[in-house]
Amino acid sequence: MTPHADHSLILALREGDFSILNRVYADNAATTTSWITKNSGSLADAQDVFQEGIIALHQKANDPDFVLTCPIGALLFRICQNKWLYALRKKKRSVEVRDALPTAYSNEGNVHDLLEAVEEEGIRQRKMKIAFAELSELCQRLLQLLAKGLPAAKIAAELDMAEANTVYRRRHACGDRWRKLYERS
Amino acid sequence: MNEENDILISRYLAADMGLPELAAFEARLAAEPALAAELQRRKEELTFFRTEAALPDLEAQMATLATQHFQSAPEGELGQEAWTQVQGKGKKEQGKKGGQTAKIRTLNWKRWLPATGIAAAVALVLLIWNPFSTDPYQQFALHAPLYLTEKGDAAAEAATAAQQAFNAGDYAEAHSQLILYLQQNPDDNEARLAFGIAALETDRDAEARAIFIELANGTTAFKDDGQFYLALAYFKAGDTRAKAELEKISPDNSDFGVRVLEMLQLVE
Repeated sequence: MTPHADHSLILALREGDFSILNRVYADNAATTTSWITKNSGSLADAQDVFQEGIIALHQKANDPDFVLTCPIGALLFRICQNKWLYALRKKKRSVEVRDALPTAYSNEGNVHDLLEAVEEEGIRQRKMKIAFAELSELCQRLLQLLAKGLPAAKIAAELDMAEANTVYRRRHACGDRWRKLYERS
Repeated sequence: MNEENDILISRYLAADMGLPELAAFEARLAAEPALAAELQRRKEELTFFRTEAALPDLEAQMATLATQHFQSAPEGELGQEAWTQVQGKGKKEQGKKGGQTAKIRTLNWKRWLPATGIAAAVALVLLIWNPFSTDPYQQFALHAPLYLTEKGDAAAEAATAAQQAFNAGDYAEAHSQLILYLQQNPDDNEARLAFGIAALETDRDAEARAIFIELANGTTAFKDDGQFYLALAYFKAGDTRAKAELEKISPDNSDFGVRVLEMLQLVE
C-alpha cells in the first residue's frame, strides 16, 4: 500500500498536532457544507456532520497500522456524506433501516475500503467507551496508566500495589471485565 | 485469553522483555494466530486510549475552526442560534448538544430582529421550494465532489477550473472545463462521470446518457456510478426505462442503495 501524500496529515493527527486541521477545514468544509445545505440540511447540520467526520478520522488516525491511500478530502467527504444520508434516512422513515449502521461496502474503490475501516473503528471505540465507563475506578486508572506507557513498577507504586507483576495480573482481570462489558454493549 | 499470555502481551507492549524472551514471544506470535489476534485486540484498546486522551484538545481546536469556517453562509450572518430557532429546533438541540465544546454557537443579539426577518423569509422560501417534496429528481441528484487536481500536472488548469465549478454547482462552466480536461485525459473515468453529470444538470440529456451507458457497460470502478446515473437520467426525463435500470443496482450498494429503493417506490 502506497501512502497518499495526505498521509502526512494522518500522522500529524496521530501525533496530536491539530494545527493541520486549519488546512483540512479550509480545503473541505465548504464542499461538505455546500452538499449538505443543498440536501435538506442547515449550516448547523453541516458543522455538526463535519465535526463528527473529523472525530471519526481522528479515531482511525490513532490506529498505527492505518495508511491513507486516497486524498483526505475524498475520504472525509464520504464519511460526512454517509453520516448525513444516515441522518436523512432516520428523519424520513420512508426507507426501511435494515441495520443499525450503513450496509457493507463494495470493494471496488479504495475510498470505500478506507471508509469501511473508519466506520468500524468508530463503532468499536463507541462500544469501548460505553463499556469502559462501567469499570471500577481502579480498573479505569490502571488501564489508563498502562496505556500511557508508564513502567509497571511506577504504576504499582502509584496504585499502592505490591509489584509490577501485580499490575499485570490486575490488568488481566480488568481487561477481561472490559471485554465482557464490550461484548454485551 | 489466559492470564499468562495476557501478562506476556502486557509486557511486550510495555517493552518490558529481555531480548531472548522477546524473540521467543515474537516466534509464538508468528505461529499462534490466537495469540496474534489477542495482541491486535490489545492494540485496538491502545488506539481507543490515544483517541480519548487527545479528544479535549481536538474539540478545542474544532471549536476555534468552526468560527472561521462555518460563518460565511447566510445562516452564519444570522447567528446559529437564531437560525436553529427559526427552524423550530433551537432549544431542543442546544440542550442535547450543550456538553460538546465544539458545537457551541453564539447569537449576535444586535442583529436579532433583522435576522429574524431574513430567516423567516428564508424559511418561507424553503417551505415553498423544498427539493424533497416538489422535485423528485433534485431529491436523488446528490453528486459527490470532484477531485481532479490530485491527479498530477496534466491539464492542471482545466482540472482546477472544472473541479471548482463542479463543486460549486456551476455545471455549465464545469461542462466547458471538463471538455478541455478530457481532451488531454480521455480515460479519466472520474472526469467522464462528472462530465456526464454536468451534461445532465444542464439538460444535455442524450449526451449524459451516452456517457453513463459507457460507464455502466464497462468494468471500471465507475460501473455502479454509470448504472445509477443512467437510471437517474431516465428518471429525470420520466422515461419508463428508469425502473429497469434501477433494478440492476443492488439495494445493498453503499453509495446508491438507499436512493435506489426510494426511486423504485416512486417509479412503481
